Amino acid sequence: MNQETNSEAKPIIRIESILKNYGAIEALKSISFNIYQGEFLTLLGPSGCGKTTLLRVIAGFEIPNSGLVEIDGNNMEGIPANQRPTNMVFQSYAVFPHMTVGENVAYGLKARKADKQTISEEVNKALAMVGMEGFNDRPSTALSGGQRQRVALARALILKPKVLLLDEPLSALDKRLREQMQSELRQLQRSVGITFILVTHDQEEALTMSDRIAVMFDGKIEQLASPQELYKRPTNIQVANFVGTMNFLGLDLIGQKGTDFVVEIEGLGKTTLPMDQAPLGYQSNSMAGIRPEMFTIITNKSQSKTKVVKGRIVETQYFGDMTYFDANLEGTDKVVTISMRNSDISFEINIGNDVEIGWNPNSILVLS
Amino acid sequence: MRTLFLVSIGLFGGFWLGTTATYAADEELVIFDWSAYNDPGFYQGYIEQHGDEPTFSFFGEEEEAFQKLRVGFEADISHPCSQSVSKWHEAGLLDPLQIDRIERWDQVNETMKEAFKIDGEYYLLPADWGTTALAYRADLVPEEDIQSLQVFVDPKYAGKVSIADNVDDAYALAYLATGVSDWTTVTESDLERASAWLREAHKNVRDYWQDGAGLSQLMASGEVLIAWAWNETPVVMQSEGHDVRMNRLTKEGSSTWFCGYVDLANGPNDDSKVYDFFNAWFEPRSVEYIVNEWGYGHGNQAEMDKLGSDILVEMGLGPINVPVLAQKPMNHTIREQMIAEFELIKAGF
Amino acid sequence: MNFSFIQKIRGESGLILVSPPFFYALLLLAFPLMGVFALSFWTQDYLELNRDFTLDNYREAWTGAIYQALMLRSLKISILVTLLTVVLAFPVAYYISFHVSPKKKPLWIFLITIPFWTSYLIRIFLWKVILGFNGVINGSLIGIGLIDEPLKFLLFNQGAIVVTLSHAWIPFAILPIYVALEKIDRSLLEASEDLGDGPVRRFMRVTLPLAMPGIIAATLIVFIPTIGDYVTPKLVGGPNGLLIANMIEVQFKKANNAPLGAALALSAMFVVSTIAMVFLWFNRKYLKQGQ
Ligand SMILES: Nc1ncnc2c1ncn2[C@@H]1O[C@H](COP(=O)(O)OP(=O)(O)O)[C@@H](O)[C@H]1O
Ligand SMILES: [Mg+2]
Repeated sequence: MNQETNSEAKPIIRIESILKNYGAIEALKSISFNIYQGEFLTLLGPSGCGKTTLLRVIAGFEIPNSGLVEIDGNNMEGIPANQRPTNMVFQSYAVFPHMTVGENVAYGLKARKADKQTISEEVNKALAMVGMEGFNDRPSTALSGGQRQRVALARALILKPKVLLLDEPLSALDKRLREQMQSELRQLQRSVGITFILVTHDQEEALTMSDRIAVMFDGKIEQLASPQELYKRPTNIQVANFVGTMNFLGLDLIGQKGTDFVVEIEGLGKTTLPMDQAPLGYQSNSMAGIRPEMFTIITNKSQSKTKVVKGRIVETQYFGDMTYFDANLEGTDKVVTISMRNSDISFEINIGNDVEIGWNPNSILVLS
Repeated sequence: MRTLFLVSIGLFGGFWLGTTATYAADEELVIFDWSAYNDPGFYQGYIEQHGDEPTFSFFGEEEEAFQKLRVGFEADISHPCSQSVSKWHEAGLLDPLQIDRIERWDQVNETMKEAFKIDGEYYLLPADWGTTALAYRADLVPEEDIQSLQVFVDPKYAGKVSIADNVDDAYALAYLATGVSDWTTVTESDLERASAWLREAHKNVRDYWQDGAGLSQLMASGEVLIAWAWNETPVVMQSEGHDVRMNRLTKEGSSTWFCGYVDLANGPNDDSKVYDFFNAWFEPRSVEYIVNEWGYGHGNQAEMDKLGSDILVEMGLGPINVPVLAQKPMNHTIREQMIAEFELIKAGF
Repeated sequence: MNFSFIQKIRGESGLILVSPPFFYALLLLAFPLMGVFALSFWTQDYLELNRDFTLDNYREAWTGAIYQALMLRSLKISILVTLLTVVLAFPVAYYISFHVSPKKKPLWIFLITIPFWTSYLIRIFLWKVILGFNGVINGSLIGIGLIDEPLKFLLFNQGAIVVTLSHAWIPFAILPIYVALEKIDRSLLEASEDLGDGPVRRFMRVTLPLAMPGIIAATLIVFIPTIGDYVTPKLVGGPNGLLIANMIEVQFKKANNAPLGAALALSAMFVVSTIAMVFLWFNRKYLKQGQ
């Protein structure tokens, strides 16, 4: 999904100028954005940046100091949580300990006074959806973390909400289970077609699951974009740092040539950059950013790169498919991180080796 | 006497503490007494002689004291009332009194001391006594209503009557009301009649009073107009400005109770100070003190006579010429029946 | 080398570790209870104990009309006290747990325990002052002209026992309920709301069931000891307020029939434990949660 089509579609959630204070703490500082039908949107940011607060404002558990929340065209002001067309998967899962799995999943339908027959059918369907058929009579206290999470999901999905809100649903699971659940969640979202808003502080999780990611810092959304866009073209240093790894090198503007900047980059030398590689323009505190995989250690003369600098390896980290090298750029004390596929490395590179490092001006971003 | 006991032990800070509070004092004489009986006015002579108070330990109720002594609590002397002395004696708790060491033995009330002469030995030094009679709110009850104890069963006073919550006083009333004035000779049928009468009276009872203070409250508010009370109650209440009077001269009569000191068999000390204490109690100033300050009679009959009848009549302790049921020891089988019967009556059976 | 030797040593040292508290408990609880138990099969003639085994005491305790009546009355009063106490305690516990800021909670709990600082007897007398003929309630009602004559049904009856005992036991009920409420994960309440329940249904479906362990504890804490109270009925119960515990006291003391007193005491204990067990059985599902 890209932004052009979005702007034509009708948003399922419209959020405008939301402010939320807890006493002197400004948890949300004027947040505005739209979420579209069927989208998997992730709120990504460090702990304490206001993700949960935003989610709770949408769910109706927090009343914003000002601003508008509109869900499916309806202003949510004054509408309590139990009457909103949203459902939530809580960080702690909030599975009712005094109920069985089946009773937990049936909870919302009972609240709606559905008849027994429907409830029983729907519960079975919902449990099947999360891969827990037959667990109806299990006491919910006898479940593993992953199972509890599935129950929480089934319990919310059974109500067919317009929007499902998930607050760090995977953070309590171990790595294996987390990765499995990531793909399951993604598939589930596609198959049910419900809009998901997921909160996480894990950038990898955000990148693998989302249609779009809103990166939050300190109560504000810094960037809202697709994972690819976010990775390739972060709009500032904070975002770039938080999403993936990026090397930052000092940058001096020497001049301008047509639509290009002429710049001097620390350790890499003088080069010209297209202006669109500076998404927010050049500022005095701008830095040159380059992702580790955009550097190449030249092991084969036939490999051609636009530019080559010399460096010395000071650290290596082996990851099986990849190796990360830290290299000191010649003539500076700057150390950059370089990542290489091991299949692209044709001889051994060890600490202390002098190497040639290739790079391309197209992969440089000017960020502030 | 048995007055105030609940209130005072309540103020001591706990129901249980009240019975065990001991005063650090001269440990060569340990007295196991009713709470509040550590009044130096009773034994000033002892303090002058020894320069210190004896050690007191308190009980709130005789049965509790009895059980405590039976399981080995050690004290030199104690203070049971007439209905318990035989039981204490039969349980082997008492030593006979060495009457030659009691200076004023010949002044001690004759009837009372003779009541506990067992096999030629005396066991009780009768110390304090009082009367139990009809007390009434003179401002609210007409004179003609209180000429007979039958007022207790008069429906006119339903819910306005209080009787002592102890079997002896209650049955003293019931026996008198049914024409018995000596309970040492009661028969089963006397007991039956008294119980039937008490059952009738139960219907009128607002509350069975536990202690003098509680009764005073009930009468002061006008909640209870007629009570079977100890003589101290009118004395205390009049001094507080309530028009509560006592009529010991109902045609059926009234009752007297008495208590006294005993020498406990298992006392921790030798008896030297025991008799100093007894002798101090029987000094004239102690007699005067207990009559004037506490409203009780004293076992020293000679000194009581010296006080003159005016003061005794005022305190409700003077001689009367209607039947008097003295709460002397009685047949314990009959008494146990009374106890059981009284509980039944109170429970509404 | 045989390892059972080592295990044996371990087992014995474990026993040694457990022993002092075990024997202490045995000394304080089991021995007196066994004494009472033995006593209940003997007979007493005035001051003499007859140690021949007999079931007569139990026969009398279970068939005597007065004992049956007093036992039923005691049960009735204990149940009423328990109900009233728990019903009054719950809102207080709820308020402290849900509406008092966390910083002030210890202060509130402290305030609730203050009545314990005064003797129970003084608290009973205070109730006499409040409920009495010229007491606070009657005084106020007469003062505002609602009644001319003091109301007599306030004091000296079973209602007064219920009120006085409930007041005395309320802190004991508030505390366990409060603890149970504190333990409820607040996100469960939000989940309930999120799934469509309004405040009332949320309370019925989540808060109350999760508070049940506390309510059950409060119920037992109040019910079991109130049946043994004999001071309150004596002081505020009036002519029809005697309870089984008063009868037990009489048997041990004045009536010179400790064996019957023991049989009555054990019978009361049996009845109370049975009721408590049945109550627990009915509520067993609430006690399993959280395991
Ligand atoms: N109930 C609250 N009272 C006071 N401050 C709060 C409350 N909830 C959140 N905050 C504050 O608001 C900020 C944002 O919190 P939150 O939304 O939970 O962050 P995140 O979910 O991104 O970790 C934090 O500084 C947090 O301390
Ligand atoms: Mg959070």
